[in-house]
Amino acid sequence: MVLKGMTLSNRRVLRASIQIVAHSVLILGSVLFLFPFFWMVSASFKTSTELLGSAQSLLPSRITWESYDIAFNSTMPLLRNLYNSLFVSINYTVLAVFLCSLAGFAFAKFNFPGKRFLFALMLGTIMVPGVVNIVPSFIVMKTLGWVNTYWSLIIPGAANAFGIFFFRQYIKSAVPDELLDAARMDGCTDFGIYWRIVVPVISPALVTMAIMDFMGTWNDYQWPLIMLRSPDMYTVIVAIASFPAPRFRQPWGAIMAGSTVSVLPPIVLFLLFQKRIISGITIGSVKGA
Amino acid sequence: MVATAYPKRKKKSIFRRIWDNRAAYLFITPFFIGFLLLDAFPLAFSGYLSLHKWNGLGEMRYRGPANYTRAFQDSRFLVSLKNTATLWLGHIFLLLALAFILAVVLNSKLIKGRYVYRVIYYLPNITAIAPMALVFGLIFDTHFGILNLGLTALGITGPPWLTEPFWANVSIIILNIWSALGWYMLILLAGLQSIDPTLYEAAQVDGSTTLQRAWYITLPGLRDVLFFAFIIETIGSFELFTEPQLLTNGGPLNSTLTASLYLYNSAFSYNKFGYSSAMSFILFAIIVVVTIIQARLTAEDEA
Repeated sequence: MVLKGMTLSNRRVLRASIQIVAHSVLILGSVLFLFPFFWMVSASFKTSTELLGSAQSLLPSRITWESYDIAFNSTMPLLRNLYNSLFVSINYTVLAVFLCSLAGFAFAKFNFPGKRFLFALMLGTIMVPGVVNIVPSFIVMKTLGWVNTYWSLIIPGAANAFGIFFFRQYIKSAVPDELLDAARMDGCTDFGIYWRIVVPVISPALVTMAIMDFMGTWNDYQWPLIMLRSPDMYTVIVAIASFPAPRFRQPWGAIMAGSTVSVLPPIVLFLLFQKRIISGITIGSVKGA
Repeated sequence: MVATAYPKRKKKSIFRRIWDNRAAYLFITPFFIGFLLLDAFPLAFSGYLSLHKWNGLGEMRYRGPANYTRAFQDSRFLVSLKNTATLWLGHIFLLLALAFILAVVLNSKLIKGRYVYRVIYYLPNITAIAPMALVFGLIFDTHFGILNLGLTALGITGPPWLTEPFWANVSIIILNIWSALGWYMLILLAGLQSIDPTLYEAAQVDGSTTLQRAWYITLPGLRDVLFFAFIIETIGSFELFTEPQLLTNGGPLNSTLTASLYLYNSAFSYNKFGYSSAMSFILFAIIVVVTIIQARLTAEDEA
C-alpha cells in the first residue's frame, strides 16, 4: 500500500496527479469518440466543394442547407423512409414489449410441466448466430408473402429470448407472490392478473425495454436490407446506405445530412433515458451470466 | 396457476397441471411459434437446401454434398473465412482489454464525472452502425479525409486507410471498437459492481497492494462476465457484415470480404441459395467448435 507511509499532503498530491492523468486520457478518448458525430454534423452543413477540398476547416465556413436539400429532394424519398422507420419501430416495440413481458410473466410466476426445458430451449436460441438463418428466414418470409412489407420487420423476433429473459428476471424479483394470490382469490383471470397487477408494477422495466427495442429496430440494417425491395419501403437506415452513388463520386454531403437525421432519434432517446437504458443493459448480462 | 405457497396436499396428475397452467402455455406460445418458424424450421430447411442447387425460384436439384466440397475449393470462401478470423483475433483482445481498463477506471470513486464519461463512451453503441460506417468512410478517405489531412498537418503521411489490405482491416477494427467498446464497458462495470466489497476491505487489512487486489479479486470476480463478453463478441465477429459492406465493400482485393458478407452476396446478389446454405452451415459448425473450445478452456482454468 503506497499511501500508508505518506504524509497527508503527499497523499493529496498523489491523488491530484492520478486525477489529472486519468482525466487527460479520458478527455482525449472522449474527444476521439465524439469526433465522428461532430464531423458528420459539420460536414452536412458544408458545400460540396468545401467537403472534398484539400484544406478543410473543422466548421463550415458558412452554413448551407444544400446537402439536406439534396438528401430530402433528389436521392431517396427520405421523409417516407423516416415515416417507415417510425412506423415499424413503434409497432415492433409495442408488440415486443407486450409479448415478451407476457411470456416473462409465465416463466417467472407459473410452475408448469416442461418449464425448465422450454426455458433452456428459449435461452439456447440466443446462441444461434443469425447468419445461419438468414437465407431460410428469407425464404419463410417470401413464402408468407411478407417480403417488401412492414410485416417482415414487425413480426419476426417480436417475441424474443432476450426480452423474455429480461422480463422474467424483473418480474421474479419485483412482483410479490402475495399480490398475485390476492388477485386470484378475488377471481381475477391469469390475463387479468397480468394486465392489472403485473403491468403496473413492472412499468419501469416496460419503458426501459421499449426504448431498447425502439432503438434496436430503428438502427437495424441487415434484416431490413434483405427484406425491403423498393425505395419507398426502405427504412431510413437502409435508404441512406443505398444513396445512389455515381462511380467514385459519392454524394458525401447528402449522405452526411441523411446520416445526421437518421442517428438523431436514438441519440435523443438515449440522452433522455440514459440511466434506465444503462441499468437495463446490465440486468440482462450480469444476472444472466 | 400462479405459483403459490399453498401447502401441497395431493400430487396432481400431469394432465391436471397442464390444464391448470393453460394460460402460461398460451403466454409463451408466440415465442415458440417464432422459434419453429424462424429458428428450428430454417435451420432444418437450411440443411436440406445445402444439398441442393436452387436459385430461389425454379426447381431444386439434388446435389448431395457437392455444395460443401465446392465451398472448400472456393478460394473466395476460404479467403472470407481467413479474413473473418483475422478481424476476430485482430480486435477481440484489444477491445476487451480496453473495456476492462475503462470499466475499472470509471468504477473508481476517485474519478469525478465518471457518469458523464460512461454516457460518452456508450453513445456510439446506440447509434446505427450503417450511417456511421459511411461517416468513417469520409473520415478515413486517403485524399480528402480529415484523418489524413490532420496527419499531414502534423508532418506525417497517412496510410491509404481504405485502399490497402492491411489498413482496410485496421479501419474496420477501429470502427468496430469505436462502436462496441461502450457496451462491453457497461457489462464489465456491472460485473465490477457485483463483486463483494468486503473482499477488498479484508485484502486491504491484510496489507495487499492495489495490483494484488486487481489480480486476485477483480479478475477472478469478472471471469464469468469476461467469458460471456468473449463468447458474445466472437459470435458477433462471425456475423461482421455492415462494417465491411459499407466501409470497404469487402475490398481492396477481397481483403475485408467477411464470411457473412460473402454469404449475403452469393445469396442475395447471385441467388445461389443452396450454396449459401452450405456455407452458413460450415460457418455454424465453426462457431459451435470455437464456442466449445472456449468453454473447455475456461472450465480447465477453473479446475
